[in-house]
Amino acid sequence: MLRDGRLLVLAFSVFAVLTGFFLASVAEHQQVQQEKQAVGATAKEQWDTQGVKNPHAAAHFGIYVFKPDSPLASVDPGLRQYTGQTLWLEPHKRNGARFSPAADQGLAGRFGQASAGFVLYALLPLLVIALAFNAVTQEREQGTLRMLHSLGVSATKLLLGKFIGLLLAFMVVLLPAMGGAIVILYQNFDLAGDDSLRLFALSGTFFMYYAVFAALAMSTSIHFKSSRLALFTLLAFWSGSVLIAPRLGAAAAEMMVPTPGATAFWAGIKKDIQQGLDNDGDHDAREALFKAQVLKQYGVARVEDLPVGYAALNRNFNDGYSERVHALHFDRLRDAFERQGRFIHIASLLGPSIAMRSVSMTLSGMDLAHQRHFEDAAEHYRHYFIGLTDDWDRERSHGTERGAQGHDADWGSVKAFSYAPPSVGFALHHALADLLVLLAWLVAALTWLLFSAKRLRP
Amino acid sequence: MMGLLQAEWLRFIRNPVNLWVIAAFFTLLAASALWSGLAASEFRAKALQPQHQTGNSQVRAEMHDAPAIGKAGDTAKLADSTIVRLPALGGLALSVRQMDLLGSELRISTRSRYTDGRNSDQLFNPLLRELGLLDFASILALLLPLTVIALTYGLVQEDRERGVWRLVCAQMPRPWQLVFAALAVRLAVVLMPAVAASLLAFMLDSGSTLYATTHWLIFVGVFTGVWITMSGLFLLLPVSSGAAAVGLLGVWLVTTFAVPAGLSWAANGMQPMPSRLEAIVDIRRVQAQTSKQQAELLSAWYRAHPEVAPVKEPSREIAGLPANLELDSKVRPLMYRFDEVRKAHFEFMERWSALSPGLAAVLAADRLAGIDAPRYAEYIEAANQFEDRWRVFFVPGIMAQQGIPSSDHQQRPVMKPLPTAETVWTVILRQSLSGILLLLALIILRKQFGRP
Repeated sequence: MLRDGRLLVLAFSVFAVLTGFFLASVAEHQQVQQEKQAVGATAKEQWDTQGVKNPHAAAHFGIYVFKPDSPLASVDPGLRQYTGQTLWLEPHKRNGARFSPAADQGLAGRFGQASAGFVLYALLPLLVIALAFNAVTQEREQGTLRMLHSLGVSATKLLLGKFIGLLLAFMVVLLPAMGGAIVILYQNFDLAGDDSLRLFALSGTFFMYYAVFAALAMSTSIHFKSSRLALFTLLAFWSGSVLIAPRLGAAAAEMMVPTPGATAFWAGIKKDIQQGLDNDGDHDAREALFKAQVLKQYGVARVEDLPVGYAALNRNFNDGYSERVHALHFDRLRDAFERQGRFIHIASLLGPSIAMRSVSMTLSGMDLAHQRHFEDAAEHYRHYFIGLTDDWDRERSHGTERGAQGHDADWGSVKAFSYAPPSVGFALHHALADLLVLLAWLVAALTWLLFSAKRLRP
Repeated sequence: MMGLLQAEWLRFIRNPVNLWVIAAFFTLLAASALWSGLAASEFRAKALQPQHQTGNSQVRAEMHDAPAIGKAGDTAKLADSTIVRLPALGGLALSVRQMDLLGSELRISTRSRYTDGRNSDQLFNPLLRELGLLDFASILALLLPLTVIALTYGLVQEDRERGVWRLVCAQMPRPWQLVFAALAVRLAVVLMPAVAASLLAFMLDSGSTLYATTHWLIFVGVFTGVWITMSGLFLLLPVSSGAAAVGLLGVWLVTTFAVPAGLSWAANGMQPMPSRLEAIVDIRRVQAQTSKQQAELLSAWYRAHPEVAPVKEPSREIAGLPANLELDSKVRPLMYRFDEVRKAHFEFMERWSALSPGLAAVLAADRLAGIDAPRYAEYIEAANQFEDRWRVFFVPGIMAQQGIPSSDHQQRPVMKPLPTAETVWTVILRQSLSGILLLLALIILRKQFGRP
């Protein structure tokens, strides 16, 4: 393999393409993170300096929070293009993340993101194919296979040798670029132990993925008489795995697991708040019951006589119900998204690329599970700071009087949102199904390679 | 020449691999056409459904302690309950899922839609969008070149490797005629399933038009011609058939993935896309400012409208309305910048679309579907103008706490319709130019095929 001219050309191409894409991804990642930090700090400062106003009016000003992406997002930005960049936290309503970059950059990414991840999962398998498609057919075409056969070289040993040689040659091609990428990562980011573990797991999984393509390419080369036909078949497999299967899977998932549109989703939430869940009664009935409970609790006959602000109490009660309804609908929607994700795995029968793509975005912390983890943490924070403003409003007013006021010292006392991303264990747990699919492909490919070796004819 | 065409046709159909390739190509395109056509029809049917009543002021539970605003309540509700939609054009089946990425459905109301994602944002599974769906134009742009490569690569090189080409050169005065005949057969054979699947997609879409169908078919013809000619040029290279295949594949990768990314980068360099995150800070600044000036803005509104008597104890809805209008008047230009830059980027890419046939395909499809950035910017502008007239009609009634008599409801403003067709000739002509240049190169170099 080392004497093959293709290796040098391909090594240089891979190094140039992967390093170029990786540097661009790192620069973009750093810019996005810096912007999130700067905007987050300014938005918090705007919150802190609202001046004198009613605590609930202050709550309506809301707080923006941003998901801090893992450094590995510069290897695979995953769903970044399609998930919103920020969450606005405000009273009464739970919002979805807003401003997906794809809406502003729709054309360039129509066929795939220009990222290091795309090079790793889509383009490098092509390199494996380019190195391996004629591994046996060429020997057959040149007559050297017959010579090896007559020398009594075992077909299995010959093929395993070629397979291991191919993988080693591929590593020779890939290692300089990978090494460069790791150095760039460590130089530009403060990588925690968890990030290193994720990087290690990701590298191992990519190696498995390339081994699948290498074994399949080698086996195909055995089964076809001409290099042309072997190359043609492998390219068909590559396009099926990388281009077709994800799209077929996504379209099938969308058809089989329908999800509501935006208008229907928000309308469903509003309807449930208004009419009540199960036997809770409608909004008016719930409010009347609550009012009676409050009057009884404080031992007064009229809300005007309450020692605390009734508007804040009542609002807090309604918001509690609203949170329950929102949680129900959000969980239902995100469960449906997860079911769609699982359904897509059916298309993994066409190739291992969907599974690799999913593992890559999960280990990079840029998948749906990590997004959900972040959104749930943000929702907890929303409860915290809205609860604080409700407390101030309730304690600083009484009865139906609504003159409660808060000051900058109050707004500044609200703790900043601090998000701790989940550990590598969380990522591995969510990537388990995809890892199993990849493992199944590897076992199948290696079994086919061994089986093909027994059928090798000069 | 007819004899050559017949011979090449026979040679083509007698090779079972070629038939498998065409069958696989047609099956995938037909699946995509079926999905896209039905999705487009479903989209149009949804657009015709009655609007959900989800206005901001309609659920008391969310308005919690807002005081009642009397007769104006119904008017406020009405003023808040209209949705406008970006009307899809006749080629929707080509690019149907792109409709999800942009806010094609907008709530027209007295509040700023930019401060509440529920008024414009779409809801979709990001994973499905990342993996890509079966939008017909994207699938055709990806698969047609691969099919052309599979059917044409190494046609001459392989014959040369087997020593057959030497025989051809010895027996024919003009061997290039044989190559051109083979390419012509492949052009026809690739075009047939592409045209059939396109027609299927348009037939399934209830709103497709002859205009969109014709223009798309012309584009498909040019697109196929460009790839066939490019493959023809690769047949001239003195390399092995495998190397020719890898080279063609490299051209496909570069033109489909790298060139659009490069053009996007260049477009952004010339006119950078503003930051959505920085816009948040600007919006909050305006929000804080208008919130502080609420009372002042309320008085100013009544001063500017002497025909409306000021309400003595205005409800929260009325007290905040002038501030909301002021907020929107300042936020709108901030947000419209994004649409203007998207439009500039789209037009820049159109100018350079000759460099990437794949990009040209999605540009043409977006235009024919009516989801292209220039049209979207026009739609936002029309929606803003409509919203202004809508507010002029409803706001005085709300501010007077009188409401609008139902007899006047017939005079409600309506949105100005957008043009019903988009031209794709820029893309088609540029792609044709690129095809003609490639063809000229092939014709000029045709004698090179005479080398044994």
